[in-house]
Amino acid sequence: MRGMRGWVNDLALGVRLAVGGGRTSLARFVLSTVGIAVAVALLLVAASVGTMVEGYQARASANTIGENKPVEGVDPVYMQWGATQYRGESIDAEYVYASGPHHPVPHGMKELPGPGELVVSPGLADLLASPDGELLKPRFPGKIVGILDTSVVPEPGELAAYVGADAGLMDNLNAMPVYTFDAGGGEYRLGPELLVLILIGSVVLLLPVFIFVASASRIAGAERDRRLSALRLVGSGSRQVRRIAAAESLVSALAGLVLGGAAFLVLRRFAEDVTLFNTKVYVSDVVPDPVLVAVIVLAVPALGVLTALFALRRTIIEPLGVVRYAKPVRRRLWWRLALIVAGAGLLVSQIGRHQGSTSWGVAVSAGTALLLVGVPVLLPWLVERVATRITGGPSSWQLAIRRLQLDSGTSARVVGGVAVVLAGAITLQAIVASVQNDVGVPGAPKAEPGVEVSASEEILDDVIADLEAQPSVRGTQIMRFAEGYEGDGEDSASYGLTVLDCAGITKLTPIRGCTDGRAWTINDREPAPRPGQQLHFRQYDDTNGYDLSEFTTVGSWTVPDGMKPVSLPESTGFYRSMLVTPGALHGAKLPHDDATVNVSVGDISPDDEERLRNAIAAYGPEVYVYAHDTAQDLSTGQRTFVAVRNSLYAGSILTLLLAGVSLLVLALEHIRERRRPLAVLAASGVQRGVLARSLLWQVALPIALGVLVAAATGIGLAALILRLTEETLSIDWAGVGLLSGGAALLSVLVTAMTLPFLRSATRLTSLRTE
Amino acid sequence: MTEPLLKADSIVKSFGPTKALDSASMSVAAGEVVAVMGPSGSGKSTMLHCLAGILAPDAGTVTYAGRDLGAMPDVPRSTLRRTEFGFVFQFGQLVPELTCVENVALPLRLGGRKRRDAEALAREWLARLEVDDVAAKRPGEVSGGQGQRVAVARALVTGPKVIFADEPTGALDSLNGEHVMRLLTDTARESGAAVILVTHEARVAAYSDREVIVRDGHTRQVEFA
Repeated sequence: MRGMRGWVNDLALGVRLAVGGGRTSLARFVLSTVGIAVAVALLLVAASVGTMVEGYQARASANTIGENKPVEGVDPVYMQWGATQYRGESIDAEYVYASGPHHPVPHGMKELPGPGELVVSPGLADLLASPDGELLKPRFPGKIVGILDTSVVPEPGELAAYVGADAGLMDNLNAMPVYTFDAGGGEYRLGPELLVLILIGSVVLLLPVFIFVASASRIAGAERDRRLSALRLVGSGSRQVRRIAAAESLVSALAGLVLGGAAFLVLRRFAEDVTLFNTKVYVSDVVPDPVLVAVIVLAVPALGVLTALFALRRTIIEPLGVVRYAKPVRRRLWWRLALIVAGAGLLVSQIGRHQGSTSWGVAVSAGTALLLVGVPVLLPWLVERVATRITGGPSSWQLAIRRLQLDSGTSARVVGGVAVVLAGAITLQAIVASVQNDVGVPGAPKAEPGVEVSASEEILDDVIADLEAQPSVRGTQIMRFAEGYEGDGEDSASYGLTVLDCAGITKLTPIRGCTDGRAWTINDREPAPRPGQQLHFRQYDDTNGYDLSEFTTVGSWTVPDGMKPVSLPESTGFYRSMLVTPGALHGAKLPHDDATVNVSVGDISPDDEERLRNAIAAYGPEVYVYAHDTAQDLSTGQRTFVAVRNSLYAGSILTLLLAGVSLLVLALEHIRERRRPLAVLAASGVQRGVLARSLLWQVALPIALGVLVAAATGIGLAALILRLTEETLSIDWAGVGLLSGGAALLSVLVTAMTLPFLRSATRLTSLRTE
Repeated sequence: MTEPLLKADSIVKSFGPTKALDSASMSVAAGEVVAVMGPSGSGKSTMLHCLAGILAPDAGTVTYAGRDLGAMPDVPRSTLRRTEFGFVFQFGQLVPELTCVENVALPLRLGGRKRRDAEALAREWLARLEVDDVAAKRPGEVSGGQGQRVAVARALVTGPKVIFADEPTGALDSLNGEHVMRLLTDTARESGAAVILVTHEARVAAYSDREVIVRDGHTRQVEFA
């Protein structure tokens, strides 16, 4: 009974000491609590990813087409998929026609829209009702008769519509009869690059948080030692005093748990306003997995207690003071390098492997984590080595170096926190910079602005006439794409070819002196067929592409001699392999596919682009307008990358600030502990400026080394990851400079903030004993 | 002389190459007030710490009520400190995070007493030592003299058999020092506790029944006439 009550008493005393102390104890409690709360909130978000993905999957697959083969007693619904874009946002439209009274109804709506009617997603309904949607209305002129239930709309704000069509849809080759609608079957997975981004982001964000919590626990360390000794003096046993110390940490951990949970609950309410990784989530989907929540709830306090006990492992708390066993350990390089080598090895081993598989994800995230963990692990060794080799310099420099020679480990560990953030941020920045070149985000090399319209042959002339009537259109060129197959087999090798007349070639490519009958091989990225080789063009019978085994060979073509290679920019929307003039086809019949009209528009305003889409809206799903680099508004994909990039910068700045606070805590503790020697130095005539500069060098040297290691690791890691995802490395040196400069500025700021404390510590009154 | 309650017999204690105590001996009877005197660095504080079981001697024995402190494991030694010993040091022995009343109640609470009971008893002792007005204040908010009286209250609250006082007035002015010494020795005598008082001030030693002089690690007994 005494034992149980004793334990409770000890815990209560620890709680009392943790929360009822003076300003320094309170500062430690608050900083530790905030640090743990940030970690808990991040962990809860990470624990919710599973349910978010599941929620998305469930909604995305809630409305799949079940059966498109006849079912007795069921009148099929004819469906044709169409899509448009508005201000860079994609809008999915399903054109539907019920062929009889016994037709199935897709999930999420009560009735199928009839001709001239619409059932739209809540996001589209809002947009059409708002002044922002004015230029979209001509494309959805029907009456809204229903709103889709959110259970079938994968993302909040998603723009989608079911458009009621007339009986003519049944005759359209692209329309499919649907007899049942199913739920389930779809699967949603994050792309490998984004998965890696999330994993690195988590490691990058959590490591400085841990270092921050560890730094916060150092605040008023000397006072805590005195307090524990006082407890021993009045008769508390050595285990009992450890229990009390553990209870002190437990309070911060529990408070952090509660605060982190509360922060998560508050922040999740804004989930629908945030687009990340091209995806929005419903608030109702941001629910952490109960098992993971239980793990977090148990592990965070347990870790808090274990950390406190771990910190006391080589400590003897005696009534007269606290004694720490500390052997002067020579820092070894081999195991530090081993971490980095293992991390790099894991990443290298995955080059050429299947991206996105579980083993790939585990290996890449483990390799990344090992490499990033290697930074703070390597830094104490490096700082120690460098500090022991430095000699000479002015007094302030000498004071700083001597101090670092005595104990560089603590500051190197905290700087390690800054370095991890920096390395992670540089890695992410390089990945984003490399990927954004492909995405065409502002800041990346821009492609020529252009609008392409795909339309079927039957309506091509009308579409061109409507387009050319638009004031923003300067001209049109017709491109036809075809795939030429070597043989008749399903797996036969094929080569893409683009057919374009000489006027179009002159307009759209750098080729000059074009004459009808000529042909070129495009770039050298993909294999080109041999001259004289026979290629066959196929017309697939199943227009929806479900069955690739049934096709008719509509024409054959012999690859001409003397095709010259031509280099075209990636942005040119040509099929790869060959560019041929109509004369070079020698009358070969191409399959009856859509043609693409390249519309020359010059600099077009976003509104003009929407008017251009509206001009051909009457053709419905028979035309699709694709615009690139025209609108000032960014596309969803571009916005995703901008959002990811901006959140990376924000996250990096936040974590750098966190690391800065850690450094400040360390510097202040350093001044507190060395109050008397500093006062003695000042009393002996050492100028405060010398002491201030010595503090600056003490922070700046580890930071400079940290920046070097971080930049090397960050760029190396980015290069490896981009090799894995088959991207080309592109380093944003300005960004690297900015982050490195930020870290340097941090050391100056931290030093500046310690100056008032230094001034107070070096007052001659500090020479008094107590 | 009555049977000693606490006895150090030929104890030796070194710190590295420095011998702080070299075959030093002394004893204290129940209810006796003994001053341990000597110049700085003579080993008097080390003697006190060995007698209290805080430091273990390298050689020789320290016995309390017939029990060898050196052979005692940590837990019973801690219990002994909590229940039968009390401590008053020059400074630093109060826990700054706790209020004065919580500091005085601390040994009782560490022993498992309920907070209400422990604090009620603590208030009684604070009143006896004339510092009940600072009960709710933290040690940093009270004067040096008040702080030492709080420390005395804490030393006496468990009804100890021996009080160890190491330079208890070292940080106080003479008036406050006299006040603290009078209260310490009077209340100790009232409760029958022995006091071992380490000091280098003759006016503080004047409150004792006899003196032990420590010089270069050796002890010499001085009996008052």
